[in-house]
Amino acid sequence: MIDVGRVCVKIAGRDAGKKAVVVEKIDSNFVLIDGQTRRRKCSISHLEPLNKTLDIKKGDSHDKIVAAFKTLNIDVKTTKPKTKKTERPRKVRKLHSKPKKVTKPKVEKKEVKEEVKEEVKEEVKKVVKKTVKKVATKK
Amino acid sequence: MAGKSINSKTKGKQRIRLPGGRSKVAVKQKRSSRVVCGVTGKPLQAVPQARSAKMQTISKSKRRPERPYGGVLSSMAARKLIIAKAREEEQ
Repeated sequence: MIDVGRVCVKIAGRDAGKKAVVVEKIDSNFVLIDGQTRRRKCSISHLEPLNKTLDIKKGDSHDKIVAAFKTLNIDVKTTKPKTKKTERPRKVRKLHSKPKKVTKPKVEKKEVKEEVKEEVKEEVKKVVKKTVKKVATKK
Repeated sequence: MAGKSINSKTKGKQRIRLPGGRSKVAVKQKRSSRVVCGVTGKPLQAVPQARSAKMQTISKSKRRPERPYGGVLSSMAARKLIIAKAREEEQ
């Protein structure tokens, strides 16, 4: 009953209720179908054969099958081939440039302080020496 | 006085027995009934048992099978209906 060219109705899956034709017999249980359904391997148990047959050859292309279905006044919707989505241009977020912090060299400050301390010490020593001399001369 | 959220009729109530022997009313979320086949009356596979608010958040393909009559008829009932239609069309 199920041979190449037999029109069937698919009764299971998302293509259920759609008409298809047997394009190729794979083995005793499976066939290749095409038509209103997707071109795919299908179990015979998921097909309900009809009285109608199409004049096609084994392994015919989808276009030939669509033309054959038109003789039975059955429309086959052809879907557009999927096109690759072009990436839309995305806005590049502007980054606010932060003002650079001016860092003062800390090491130099310490050196200055040490130098100042040493100078002060020397001055103090001089003053002390002078006062000592003055006291000695008075005596 | 019970809180407004507890007093709502959208909540299901169940009398439970506490370990001390006292009984208390436990407030629980109501559960929706299972979706059943329109022909056979058996619960449908692959249809979640969720409240309508939750169902709105689920994607359509997860709410029911993708086949014709999915979520309404069981697979076998749908299959029989499609076969019957196809045979009727031929005559």
